[in-house]
Amino acid sequence: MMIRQKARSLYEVCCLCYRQVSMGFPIIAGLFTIIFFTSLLDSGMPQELPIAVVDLDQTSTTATLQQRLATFQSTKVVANYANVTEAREAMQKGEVYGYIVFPDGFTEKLLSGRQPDISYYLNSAIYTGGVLAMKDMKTISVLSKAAVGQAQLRAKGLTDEQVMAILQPIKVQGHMTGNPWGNYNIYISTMVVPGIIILLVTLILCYYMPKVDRALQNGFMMAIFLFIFQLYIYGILKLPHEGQWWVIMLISLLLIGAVTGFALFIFALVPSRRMSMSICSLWGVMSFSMSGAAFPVDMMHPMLQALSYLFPLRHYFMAYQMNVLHGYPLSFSWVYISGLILFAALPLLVWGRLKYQIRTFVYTD
Amino acid sequence: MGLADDIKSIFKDEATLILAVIVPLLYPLVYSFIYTNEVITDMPVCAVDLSNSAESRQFIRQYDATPEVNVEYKVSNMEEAKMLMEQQKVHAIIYFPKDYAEKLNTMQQSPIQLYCDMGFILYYKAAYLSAYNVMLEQKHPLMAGQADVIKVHEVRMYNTIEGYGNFLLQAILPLIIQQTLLLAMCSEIGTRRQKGLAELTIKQHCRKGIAYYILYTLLGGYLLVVVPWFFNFSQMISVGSLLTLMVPMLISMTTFAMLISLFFRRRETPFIYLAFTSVILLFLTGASWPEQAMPVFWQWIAWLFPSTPGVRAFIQLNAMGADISFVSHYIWVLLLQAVVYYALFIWGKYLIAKKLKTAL
Repeated sequence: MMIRQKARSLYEVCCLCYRQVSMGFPIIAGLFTIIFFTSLLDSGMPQELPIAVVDLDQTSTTATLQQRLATFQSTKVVANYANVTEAREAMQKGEVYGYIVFPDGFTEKLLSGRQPDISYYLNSAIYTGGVLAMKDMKTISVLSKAAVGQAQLRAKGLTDEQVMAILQPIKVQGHMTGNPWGNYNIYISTMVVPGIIILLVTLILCYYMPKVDRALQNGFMMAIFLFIFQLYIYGILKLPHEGQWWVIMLISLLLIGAVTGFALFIFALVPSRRMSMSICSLWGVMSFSMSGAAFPVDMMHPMLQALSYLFPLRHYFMAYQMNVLHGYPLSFSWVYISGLILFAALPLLVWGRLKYQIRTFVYTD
Repeated sequence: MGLADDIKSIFKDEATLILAVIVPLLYPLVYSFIYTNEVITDMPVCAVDLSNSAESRQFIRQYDATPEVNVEYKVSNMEEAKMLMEQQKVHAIIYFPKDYAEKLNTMQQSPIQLYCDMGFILYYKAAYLSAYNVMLEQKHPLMAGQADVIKVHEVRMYNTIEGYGNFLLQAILPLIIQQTLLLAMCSEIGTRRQKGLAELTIKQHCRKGIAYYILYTLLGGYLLVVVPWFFNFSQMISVGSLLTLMVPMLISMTTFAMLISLFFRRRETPFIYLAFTSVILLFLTGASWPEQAMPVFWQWIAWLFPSTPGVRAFIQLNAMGADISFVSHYIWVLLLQAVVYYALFIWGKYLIAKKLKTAL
């Protein structure tokens, strides 16, 4: 009997909570964000970005060289243009990310040993595409030297390996620690998705204040998606992570605590719903830049480096890349971990004022 | 109530004033300031030199001399280097094996390992490409004194220093126009409904749209011309091209805002529902993640928003100096979008009027 009564009251509490939480938006926004970013970046590394060739020489030698270019990793020759103007226009139209020019008289110069030129043009206005195309095109130097020099040196009785050693004595082999395949999903999704979720959490909290219980219930409804996201990318998509599960969950939890503290702090200071939401969205949108995931904070203006400590996402990102991506012990990132804890404790600073605001808050436009 | 009152009402309400005037004025300045240091310089690197030879030291010297990299530490074993990386004192390790010089001198290709912290993609790019450049400069003793068989030239076009701000802001500026216009109008309409004021007729609603259009013509000039000029970003757009792009872009963005504003009944909800879409829309424009690498589904979804053709056309005109004829398809898309948004807006208005039993 007792149990039934308890169950019943528990059920009623649940119903009450359920009615106070608007489920629709958090579910749609949370799931959409997760699915959008993970599927958008699904390819991990862009493959076959379009580039073009302008062959003004039109000989069998340049044709052979072009064939060698087909071995590029992330780019693909999609067009041959008759002149440079056409290639440049294709670039301006956004059709190709770069082009290679074999000038007129290339073969003639080559055969008479007068050092012919090859030029490659890159579009650096489109960053990622330009950079990837550059990585490939830099290998042109090596490839073209090899193609031409091989025959000569082989004739002198050298083995293929010796020929390569002479043409390219050193070989730099790149290794990316923590992200063995250079997968962009790992470094974009892992920062942008939590960033969007915490932006929404702070906005929802400010929207429902001063009704603390409703604010927290709705905020946490949104926050659940941070955990769903982590479970999805590490559990199902199996993105690499050196850190253990409890570390992932701990820093996610700390992040949610930090932004909750931040939102309550802002509400206590700025008792207007409009203004507190404005500040939170300003903070949230700036976080993406200030986290340093795109452009490193160390390279920013010293003043900005100091300001970056004011953004919870920055602390999360640093803790994430040290503890989760690389699996270093938590003690290494103690600055950032304690930063998150301090954010969570912010409301204590303004406890009296917060209580006063909650009691006396009047909604004004 | 005339058009002048509609413009005045934007300035009278604190909410729309912040969203439609202050944010578009200040945001681009803040963003541009964040990215004033546009490139990676002197990133800290650690060298592990087991070979300890004249050849390896020369490579390290040359590597150190590149603008991107600063070889701050030289250690004798990998463990120490890893420690430095873990403490975030360096972001890359360049490793010379014991037989580095020996291989070089016995006609074998000699590998160097470069370990890079992938937490930061730009560090990887800087460390790898500068090492690659140094590598290309090295010549085998047998070939010393001989010119290369072929000379290879690299030409970076448009964003010649590869500045990060110069690339990102070109995409963000048109997006700021769309997002603030959208937020401001949705907030204004939401406020009216929250206060229980009469639903706007189509004519009144369009007049509000025109008021925003006029205000944003000025703001657009500021965002697309003054800000790039002030921060020395590439600026190759001609006055004619700017107007040819801006008129359809603003028409499309205003009608889009009018359509979306039909959904809001409260003053603050637009914040929650719309603020987070900015990042998603930025990715959909294809500026930071190449369009060709996106799944086809998202490539199509991208066309539903004015920001996609707007941003792409602006980058091509302003950052790459394209002729206006190269982006004509984007202009047509913007106009087509405006027609579709307007048709949907009229239909939405009709449905609302039917439900509330008010005049259109």
